[in-house]
Amino acid sequence: MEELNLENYKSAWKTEQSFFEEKLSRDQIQKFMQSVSKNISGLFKQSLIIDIIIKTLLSFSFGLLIVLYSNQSRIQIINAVFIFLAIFCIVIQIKIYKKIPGMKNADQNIKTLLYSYIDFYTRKFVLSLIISSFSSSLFFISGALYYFYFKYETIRSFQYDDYLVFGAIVVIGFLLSAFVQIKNFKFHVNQLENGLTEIEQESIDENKLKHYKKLNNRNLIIYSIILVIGLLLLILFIFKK
Amino acid sequence: MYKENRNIKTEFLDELDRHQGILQKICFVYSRNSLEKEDLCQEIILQLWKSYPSFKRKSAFSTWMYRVALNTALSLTKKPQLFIKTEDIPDNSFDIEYSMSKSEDIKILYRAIYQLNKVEKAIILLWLEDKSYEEIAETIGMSVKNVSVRLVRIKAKIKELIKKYQ
Repeated sequence: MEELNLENYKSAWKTEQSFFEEKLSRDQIQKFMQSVSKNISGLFKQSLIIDIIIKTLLSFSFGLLIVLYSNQSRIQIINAVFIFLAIFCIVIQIKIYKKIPGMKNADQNIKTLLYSYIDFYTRKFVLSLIISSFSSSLFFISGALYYFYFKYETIRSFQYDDYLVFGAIVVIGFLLSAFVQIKNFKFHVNQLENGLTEIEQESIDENKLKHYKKLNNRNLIIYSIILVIGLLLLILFIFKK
Repeated sequence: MYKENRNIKTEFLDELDRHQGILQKICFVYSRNSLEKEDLCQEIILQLWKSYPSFKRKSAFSTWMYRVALNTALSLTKKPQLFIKTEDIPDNSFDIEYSMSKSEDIKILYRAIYQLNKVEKAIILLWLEDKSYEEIAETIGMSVKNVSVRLVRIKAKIKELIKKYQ
């Protein structure tokens, strides 16, 4: 049987006319140049921008609460703390935004690029996801403070079971949001890791990927524990007589 | 400043126009249908345009374009299943109509390349474009030796698949 010669297919590939005939128009190209990126770095950016907007709105919301609770200095201080917290989170998110692997590096080799995305996700973006999940807790607290104002014009005193219910909602809100976001981004990052594994097949360092996974899990656990403890202390601080 | 930006834009559009073949080939290989191809073309053009200011002309425009375009194709991720509409085509199939405008050899070659993973696609694509082992190694981030070993395997795989589809 005659041996198949791939060089013939190579020649066909190089001379295939349709590749040169199916041209995009200049108008189409210019439209594409102004579009929004759907790659992982675009997703990172999108997620950060949304969170920065939400936290800015929450800051205004707590600002309004300071005005509403104008004759209750303790509640005003609590709201000021929340504004400070929201602004602090916004600052961190902006710092993380600036560190997203950008297009300056788009022409580096594929392996380096994939590593930079995975490294960024593991070291920086996980923190951002945790901070972003904090928004749902802040949103609930702000909503509760509005509810108390319009119903009682002050924060009513809490029993122990109230602490439990309130605390549980705040923590579940945070954990649920963190879970969904981490799951979603992990799905994308796994695809990049698969790409790396395809490149490094048999040759290099599986350990590096394992190291990233370990680091990612460790960071996730540490940030989550710190935030949950912080949230619970906050609830105690707000509602304790 | 405005005039300078306009010049850069015109220069970019001219360069891209001259090298649209590269864009068409990469998008063709990494897509299952015309819709995916258009999305990928859009993403590649966007990334090329965003990174154009950092193009220092140390290499030819085409070399730089291959790198950015392949980086984009390889780092583009799919959405989680939850958000994929049911009418979307599953992973292991492609639209038959998609390669209809191509010659018979290219149709068969496409079907064979389609079975490769993303990195193998990049390696064979660069080989089809007559790039040297050194250039392929540099673009992907592999050693030259590794490229040669991988190419032998990929070619053998492609030959088998072509025989099957012929």
